[in-house]
Amino acid sequence: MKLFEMTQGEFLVLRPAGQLTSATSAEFEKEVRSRIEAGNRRVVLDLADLDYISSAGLRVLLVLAKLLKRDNGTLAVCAMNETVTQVFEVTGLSSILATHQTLNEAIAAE
Amino acid sequence: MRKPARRPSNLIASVDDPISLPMAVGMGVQHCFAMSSGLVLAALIAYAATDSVDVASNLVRVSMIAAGLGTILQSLKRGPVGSGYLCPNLPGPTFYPASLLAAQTGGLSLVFGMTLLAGLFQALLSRIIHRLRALLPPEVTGVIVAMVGISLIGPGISSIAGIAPGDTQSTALETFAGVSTLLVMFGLSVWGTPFMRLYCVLIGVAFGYALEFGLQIVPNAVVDEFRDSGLFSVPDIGLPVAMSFDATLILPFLIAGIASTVKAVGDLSTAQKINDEDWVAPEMRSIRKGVLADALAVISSAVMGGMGQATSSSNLGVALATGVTSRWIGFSAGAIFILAAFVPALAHVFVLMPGPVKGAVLVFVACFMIVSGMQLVMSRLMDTRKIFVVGASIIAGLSVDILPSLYADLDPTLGSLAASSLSLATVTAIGLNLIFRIGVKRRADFVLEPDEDREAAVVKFLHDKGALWGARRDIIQHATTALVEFVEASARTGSLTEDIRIDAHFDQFRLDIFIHYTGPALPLPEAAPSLADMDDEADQMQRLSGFLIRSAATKAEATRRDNQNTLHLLFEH
Repeated sequence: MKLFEMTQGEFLVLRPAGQLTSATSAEFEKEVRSRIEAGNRRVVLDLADLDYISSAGLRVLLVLAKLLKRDNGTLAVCAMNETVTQVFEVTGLSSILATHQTLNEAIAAE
Repeated sequence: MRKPARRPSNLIASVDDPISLPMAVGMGVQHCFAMSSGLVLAALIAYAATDSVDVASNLVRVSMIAAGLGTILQSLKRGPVGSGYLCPNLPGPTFYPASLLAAQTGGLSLVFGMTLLAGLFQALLSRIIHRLRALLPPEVTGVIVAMVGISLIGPGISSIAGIAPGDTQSTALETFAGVSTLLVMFGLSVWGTPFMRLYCVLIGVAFGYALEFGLQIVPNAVVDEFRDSGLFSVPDIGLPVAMSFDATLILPFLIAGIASTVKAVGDLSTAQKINDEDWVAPEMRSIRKGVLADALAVISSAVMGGMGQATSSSNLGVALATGVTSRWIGFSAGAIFILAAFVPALAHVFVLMPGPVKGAVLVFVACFMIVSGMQLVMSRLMDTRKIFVVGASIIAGLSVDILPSLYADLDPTLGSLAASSLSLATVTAIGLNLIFRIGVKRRADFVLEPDEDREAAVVKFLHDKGALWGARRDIIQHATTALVEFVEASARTGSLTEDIRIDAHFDQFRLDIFIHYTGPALPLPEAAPSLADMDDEADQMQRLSGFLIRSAATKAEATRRDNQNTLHLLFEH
């Protein structure tokens, strides 16, 4: 999985591309964890290039959200496609994580 | 997974929105103008059976009551009748060819009797319409809609030229009036302000009347009739109206019923689409109830002494143009149309309409119907099967109009198939589509082996087959989500060490995937497990996987025998 990274002010913006499934979620979790451990506390996941997400991917997002919450940080997601949005809605993840239409909205709201 | 409708941003008031009384009345009146274009057909049918202006006027007024009633029934959301959408009725062009034939051969009583039969047939169709999708793909419905428009060419052009029963001479002045009226309608529709575009038919008719009076080609008797028409009277509603039946006309009227049903399915699908940004496929429950409402409008019209009804595509155009699609407008438009039937002067506008002006309205309506049909046909990629279904049925239909002598000596039963171009084209399209379904079903299977990258394998399998079969991209995406989830779940239970066999069956309406595997059965919970309380327990993750698979598919069913499981996933196409 490709993971693009940039910072906007105090926010770390990560943009995974492809699929977040059991095949890619372990590597993705490791990459994001390393950045959190390096001191990043305000993380935004820009999911515009994420084709779909499986239960393994959902689990990773929950783990990362809990990790940041424990350290008084925040995790927000934005720009999901229709397939990913549906998964967020039917599983109730959209009521647990802060979700936004665009990256700018995510940064403004957080 | 079927999601709730997402309201499009271009709508001012969508189907479920309440609206103010002034808006309900204002929009209702606009819709009544669009509904009134079908009244010309009622007048033409009446004059094929009688010379009496009073009889023709009554047919128009009763048809207005039935159209109003149908519009109200269509707007009902709760209960067994009504789609819940704004989709008004009008005297249906789909009934025109068969009704004209009945009026010419057996008078209006035959029109009423045969229309009743067609309405009852439509009511029956409404009960099984969801099972008939395979018989009525877009290329078949498109041909039928286009042929309804084509069947209006004959009466439209001859009326423009001023030719009518008992008046076979066309004059240059009549033709000039008809063509000018048509050009005014075209011009307003193309270059007019939004207001002019909405009322282009009405303004065109007013222009046509003015021109006819200006050129002094309106018979004095017509002027006298107008002068004598009152402002209020109760239409003569039969109950029971005199009816008669003719076996040779059963087929043309059943075909009219099929054509009306097909049109209703198309119009109601459009109404759903207008109100849902994420619309991908028709929701058949509301369509079934909508077709029943349409059938009841036809039946009530026949019983009261009116002509067959159908849903109005042009009213959907009005709804889209105005951005107001609230079902409350259906109630107001229906009520206003019924009230208008009690004003004889309004009915006389259509009953006494000069031939060239009537012709201009018919040709204007035909333009939209022919192009709507073509658009439906071209909404799917054409393969050789579809090319022959479309091409051969249009050729067969047109041959009735171009070479009528070919069909003159046929046995009455066979001859009734060729009673009109619409009739023969419909039978040919449905028949050829049925025949060409032979061999249309595609099938593929493969085995997920333990030592391969199973996730990549299922993604490649589905994307390759989806492209080969011409499946919709969103359906393949849903199927991919479900299969990738299944691969993850099988890895957690240890089934990954066993072969997993996948069978996929596809036709133009559904993708069925059967997953055969051994080991513990995957749970398929209807509700999502709580993510907030979730930890890493495999049992919870399996339930989440099962829920996601169930959500991605239209239907998911698991069966188990001994240690063998089969998971059947259906994706409606």
